[in-house]
Amino acid sequence: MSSVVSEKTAVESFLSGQLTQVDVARIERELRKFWADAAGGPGAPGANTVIRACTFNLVMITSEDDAETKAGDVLDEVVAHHPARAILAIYRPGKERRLDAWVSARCHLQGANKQICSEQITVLSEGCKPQELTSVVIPLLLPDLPVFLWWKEPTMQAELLTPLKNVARRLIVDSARTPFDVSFLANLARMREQSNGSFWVTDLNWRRIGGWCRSLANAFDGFPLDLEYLFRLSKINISYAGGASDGPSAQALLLSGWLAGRLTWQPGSPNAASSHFKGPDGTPIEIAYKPVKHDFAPPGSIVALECLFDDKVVLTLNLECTADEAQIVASTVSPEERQEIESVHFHASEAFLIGQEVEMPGPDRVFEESLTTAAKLLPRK
Amino acid sequence: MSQSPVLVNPLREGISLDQAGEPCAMIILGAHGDLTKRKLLPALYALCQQGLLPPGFCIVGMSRTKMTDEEFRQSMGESIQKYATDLVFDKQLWDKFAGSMYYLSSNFGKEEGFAPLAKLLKDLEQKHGTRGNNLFYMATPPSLYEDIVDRLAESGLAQKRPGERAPWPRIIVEKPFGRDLDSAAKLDEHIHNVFQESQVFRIDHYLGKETVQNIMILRFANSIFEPLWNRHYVDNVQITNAETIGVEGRGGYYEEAGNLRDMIQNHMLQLVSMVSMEPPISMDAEAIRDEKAKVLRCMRPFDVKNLGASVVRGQYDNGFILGQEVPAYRKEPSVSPNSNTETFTALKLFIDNWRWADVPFYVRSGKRLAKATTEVSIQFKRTPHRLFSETLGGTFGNLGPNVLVLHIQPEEGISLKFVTKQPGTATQLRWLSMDFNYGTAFGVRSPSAYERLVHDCILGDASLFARTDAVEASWSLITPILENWAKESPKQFPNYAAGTWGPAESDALLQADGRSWRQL
Repeated sequence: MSSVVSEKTAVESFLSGQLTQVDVARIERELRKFWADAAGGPGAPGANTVIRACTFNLVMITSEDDAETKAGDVLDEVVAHHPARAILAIYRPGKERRLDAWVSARCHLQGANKQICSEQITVLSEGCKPQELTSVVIPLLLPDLPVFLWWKEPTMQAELLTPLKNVARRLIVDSARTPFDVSFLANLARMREQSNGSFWVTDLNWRRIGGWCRSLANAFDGFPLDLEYLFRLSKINISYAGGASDGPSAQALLLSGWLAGRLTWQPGSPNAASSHFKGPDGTPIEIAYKPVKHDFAPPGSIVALECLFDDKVVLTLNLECTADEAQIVASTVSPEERQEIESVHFHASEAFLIGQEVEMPGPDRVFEESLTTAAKLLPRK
Repeated sequence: MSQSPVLVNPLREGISLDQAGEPCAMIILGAHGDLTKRKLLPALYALCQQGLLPPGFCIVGMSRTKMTDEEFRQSMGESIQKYATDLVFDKQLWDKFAGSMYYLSSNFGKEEGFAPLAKLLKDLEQKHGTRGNNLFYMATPPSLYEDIVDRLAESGLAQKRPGERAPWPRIIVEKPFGRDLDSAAKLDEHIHNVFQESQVFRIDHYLGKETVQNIMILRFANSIFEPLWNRHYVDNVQITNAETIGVEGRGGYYEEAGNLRDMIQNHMLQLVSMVSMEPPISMDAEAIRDEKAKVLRCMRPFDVKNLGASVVRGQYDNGFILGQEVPAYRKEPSVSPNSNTETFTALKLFIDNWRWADVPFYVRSGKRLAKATTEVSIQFKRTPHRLFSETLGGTFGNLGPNVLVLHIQPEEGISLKFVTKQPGTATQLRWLSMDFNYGTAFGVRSPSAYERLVHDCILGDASLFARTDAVEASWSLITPILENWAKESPKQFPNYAAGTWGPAESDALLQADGRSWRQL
């Protein structure tokens, strides 16, 4: 009798999202047992229908101190909208070797008594070799489903990254973690180039500047400015949140790379304060970078754009924000032509941005081109 | 003469298509009606929540009822909270959204009624940056369509201005598009006097449903189905649209329309065309609509001398639905006690082309049926040699063939029925259903049909809207039945009890071919 009670409790805690420690060598077997029990075998918890759903594998690599809780919460939010097998792989240095695993279900009630569940596997490695961790993670990937590798680390560590990216469809990074470290973008661009299309790379920071890209595109579509102005741009000033000594942020460089790529501007020699280009007809174009203090925008976030035509400011895009929301407001030289044009996502959670990534089935060619161009603009140290 | 190239905004490339709609004003004609409250405003608010409305977008509601802008906003806000139950109402977002809503009280029949609209739209072009693009949604009774088109033309609102990037007017027309072939052709001609076909969006909300859109994806993005999708492997196709509700206070409308006009001519035949069309040469709207029109033209005309062999009509009597007693159709408000209007139709269709020759498409639609469900089921041919049916006492054989079901509502999804061995030492076979459910597989909210269709119209994508030749083809098929029914009164109306699966003749239609409706 007591064994039945404890069995019930184990399934219930599994379904409630509580981490259940399992033997690293028996992760799959334990998961299968939990799902079988939850589906109505011995120890099934009540009358609720439990449906296990999975549309992709999501592997998060992190060494953050609070990863077990914080990263787990983010994954929970992601799988609520995108059923997946989520693998949280924590890799930390340590004097003593430790390799442990936990499993949990991430269930969300649909209707009165139907639970839609994803599963999360947490693998913690401390003081282990990278291969020890990857040898546990890779066999856990569900076959025939895309693998999204979320590299939540500020640097690329080849020994850990290489075997994982070999099985991934997409590598997701976030250049906002080191917003002024241009080497991160350089490494990413190099990795993309070397991938030969075997996997795709994306940057959550690129998603964050989507609002700026759309606002600029819209601004030149007849209101407030006609498209002809776009081809007469002579200078753009990009302001971003940062201290006086902070060089161009990753966001500013990505936006510059995007503009140059779309408008077929050829980059000249790079420097820290500005990028210089030649337009298709040989006219010089400059993008100047300016760090500014900002109350709400995270470091490196773009906060304003000024577009100059024949050295006169005609179009300004400004971020107007509070602690909760932000929107881009465009205005031309006459203040009465001020127009709210876009909400931006710098308050968007990581889970929201990851959700956007996993909804995109193919490569983001525009990002990849923008990254390649941005890498050519990086100031040499 | 070489044409000057159209200037394209290079910054648009790669920006999510979801965001790429052009600025415009949406003018809802008949803004005080149920369609606006229940469907259109919730759809527009949902698009706003998802950031899918273009910049420079505003809404103008227009109807005869006197109301201020503020009263209109208030009324629409209440409707959204009442009807958009799958959306979280965000007061802050609503206030912003409502700020772009305006109202104009006007009489659609009178020319002067549209002069204030033209002036308001001019002002909004400046205020919101709509660029003079106007999207007119006819949410009025169909009897007003021609008048409205005339008034739009007279006020200059429906004229496409010259120039490559000139502002556009578009018009969305709700069903029913005509009452028969002649009236549909007349309405079409009327609209085409003013609008080009590319500016006309005939809405059929069935085509906005995820599963209906998924029919093409399932067929043409997978390699395993299309080789079987023909007369060699498909025994028959069954399409069922069953409603448990009655006429819901729309007795007056239904008396005029009936099930054949209300459901079969548009929704059901659109479904048939999606299931049976040939692969389009591209995903371009015209390529898709070419194929749909082509297959509709291949449908074998009904033999009006022997209509009963392929068409069944029915009308519900009183009965029980989910434990509730419900009245007969003839007892519904605004319905004649001697009404001969059909509330149920079953058809046997044939598509006379290479792919579908002699494969029957059984289509049924009705009100007050046993269960609310809409689905398409592809019934495959049985195995050529029934290896197991003899040894198992015919159990396997009696259970029917492999069936692929496309569930359209209430749950959207796909299921495939196949045979497997039951675990055990004996060779016991068992039917299993492999189910895919949109709600559970993706864990995200599916957009409503109106969300998708209104958004498509803002984008100018007509793929999911009916084209004039398809409308003509469907009326050509249906009109002889209507004419025949008008001449001959039904003999035994009402002929099915509410809460059943329709009249016995519906079952007999398939039994005559040695088949039966899929058990639902």
